[in-house]
Amino acid sequence: MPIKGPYVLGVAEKPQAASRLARALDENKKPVLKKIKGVPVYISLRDGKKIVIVPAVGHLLTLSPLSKSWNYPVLDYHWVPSHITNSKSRTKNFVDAFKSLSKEASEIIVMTDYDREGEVIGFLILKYLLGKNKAERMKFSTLTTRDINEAYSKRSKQLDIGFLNSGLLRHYVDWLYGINYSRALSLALKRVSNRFKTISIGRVQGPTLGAVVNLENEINIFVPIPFWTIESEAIISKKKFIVFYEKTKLSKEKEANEIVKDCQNLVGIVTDISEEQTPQYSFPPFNLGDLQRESYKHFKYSPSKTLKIAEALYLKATISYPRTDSQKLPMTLGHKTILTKIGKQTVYGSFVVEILNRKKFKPREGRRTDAAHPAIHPTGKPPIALNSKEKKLYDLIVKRYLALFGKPASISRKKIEIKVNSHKFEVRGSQIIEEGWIKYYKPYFYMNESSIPDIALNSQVNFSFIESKEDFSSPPRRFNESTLLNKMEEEKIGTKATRAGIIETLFSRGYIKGSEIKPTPLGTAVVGVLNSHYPVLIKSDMTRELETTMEEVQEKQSNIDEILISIKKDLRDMLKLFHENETNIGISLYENLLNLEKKEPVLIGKCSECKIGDLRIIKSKKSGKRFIACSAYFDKTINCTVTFPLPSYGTIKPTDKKCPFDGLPMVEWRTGRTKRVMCISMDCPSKANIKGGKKSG
Amino acid sequence: MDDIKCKICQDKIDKSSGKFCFNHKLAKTKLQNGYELWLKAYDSLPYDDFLQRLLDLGDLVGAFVKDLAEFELYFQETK
Repeated sequence: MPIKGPYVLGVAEKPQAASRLARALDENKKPVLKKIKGVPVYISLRDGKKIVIVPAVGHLLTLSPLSKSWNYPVLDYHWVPSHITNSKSRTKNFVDAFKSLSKEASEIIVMTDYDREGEVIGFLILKYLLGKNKAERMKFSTLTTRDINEAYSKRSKQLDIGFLNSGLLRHYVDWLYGINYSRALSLALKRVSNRFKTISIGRVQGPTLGAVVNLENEINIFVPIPFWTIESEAIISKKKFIVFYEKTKLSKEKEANEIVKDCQNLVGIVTDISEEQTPQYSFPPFNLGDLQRESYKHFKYSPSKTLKIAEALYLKATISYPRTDSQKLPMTLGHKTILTKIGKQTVYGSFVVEILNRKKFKPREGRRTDAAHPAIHPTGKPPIALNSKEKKLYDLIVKRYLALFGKPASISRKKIEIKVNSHKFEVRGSQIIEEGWIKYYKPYFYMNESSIPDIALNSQVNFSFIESKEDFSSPPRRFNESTLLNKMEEEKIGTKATRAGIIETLFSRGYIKGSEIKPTPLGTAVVGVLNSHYPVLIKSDMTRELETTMEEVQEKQSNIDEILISIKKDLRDMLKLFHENETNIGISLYENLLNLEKKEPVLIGKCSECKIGDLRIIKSKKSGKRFIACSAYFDKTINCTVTFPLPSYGTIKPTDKKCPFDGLPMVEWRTGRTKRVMCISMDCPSKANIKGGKKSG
Repeated sequence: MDDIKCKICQDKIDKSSGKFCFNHKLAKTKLQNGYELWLKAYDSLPYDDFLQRLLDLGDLVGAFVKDLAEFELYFQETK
């Protein structure tokens, strides 16, 4: 049954958001649910008007080249429904639902998330699916009934041009860089190797991958340098305390030995005592980056996983919109109401009572702002039907929010200076005197406390030992997902909404691997080639400049046509040079890739014999035969001699599987159309039934 | 053919170094600078002892530096 017009057509970003919007806008909070081709469509009644709310599933349209040939440069494009370019996309029914409802719509209201992407999603549906060019805009930061109703009554007469133009510019630029350089690199490789491999690189991917590879290069040429520390322990009131020497590091062995010699009587005199109480303020409210870092620190959730969970919490109306840079929480958000609602949850009840009992309460804020949304905060809506991950993140967000209203904590820091001959040592202690906000933020804040007993000036202090210890400087630490996100923020590449996705893309394209992120041979090869031929693609300068341009477009609501003409011109010039150099680039890409693939050992699993080394595939230089051996063979102290033979033909790949008979790793052996997953041991009972006694195959 | 390949990894040599690829050439410079700092730290230390001690430090040492230290210690004909 078609829905009878006229009606106001509301464009929502997701089905869950459409349901909340419809319920909040309906006078009786009971909108009618209809399905068009399986797409849930909600009909709400309000002020005698019918409001039909239709959801999208994120972007329903995508950019596509006008030309059909697989070449470059590609500078002309158009928007097409995603299901036309990608058969896996399940958006066709949503596209049809919008098209079928456009005719009888008297007004359109865009109700997508209020940010660049939301504006672009709404605009594209308006223009290409509904065939209109005008719509009103609802702007909200939470999906609570209060905010939705306020957004409806204060809706603006048009879309946000600043957000829309900067959002569209991002799409065009990313698409232009992505498609052209990916095609150029893939074709360069194919030209020299006859091997087709999609090698994609994007405007933000390039500098991010570049940062990972540069760090790996730094680690690869790292030479540790020796230094010495003075380690000592003093006894005060029969208790042992670690004592710090005045210099944290000594660069010469001789100097360290002389200090130990000077202090060999192990007796010192207290020459100074100082104690001060300092206030410690709570951390600022969460913006997306801070939330992603804190979530990684406490739960080890990757930035993209945190964003996904936060979005689920937002769609359940329990927290505000998470894609925000803001550390501001204006009083207009109605903190008293939010706090009162949170107080109804038993775990937070006593904290809320304490906060509300104070005459004045105002949340602490940070410096960063966002034009569209406040900092991430709970809405007060009871967290019903949350899964365990959502519960954890919700608790972190609520506790951070409560901590903002807490008094500053008071920390006492005490120092005792002890002189042994001419050498100064220091005992340090710290104690929380007043918990303040820390009480609300537990267990996400922890401090190692140690109190030092009272001692008089000029007292004698005995040391248990004063020794020198040789140590070595360490190589820089590899990025994890959280620190790589920090690096992107520092370099100002990507946005709060895209950074986590970029990291995920680098993993899924096989450019980086591991929780301590390392580049793969492919990632290293791509950066190597770009570094020699197009360093601009792996340095952050160009990307950062473009981000600034997009910010300016957003603020000044400027036209993007001229910017696009200039970007296309630069791109055309760069690609012309690329084309002239294609063979050289292809050769260098192919050689890099072959060399690195050769060097990369194929790991099968941990050695079950020595439990230390890794089992890896080795090719004998003498016989050319391959076999599995333990890496600890080369370690003089272990010298593990475990080996397993391998079939002399076919390809061998590691798997994650363990043999159910003997627990040894299993490998995948493939020859022609035959594929078999088998245990690496020749004596494994699983091989007893192999016909013809050909155990190895 | 040998003279155009890195003595350690068989990659193309970096023309300015004559014997090593770009990465192992960089490692060589870092190793030389590192030795000077080790000499200052210990007052005296034979070069071979420096290389051996570096190899004993395991994962603290960069992979290219380790390759080079092994090469200089075990495979180089004339030091």
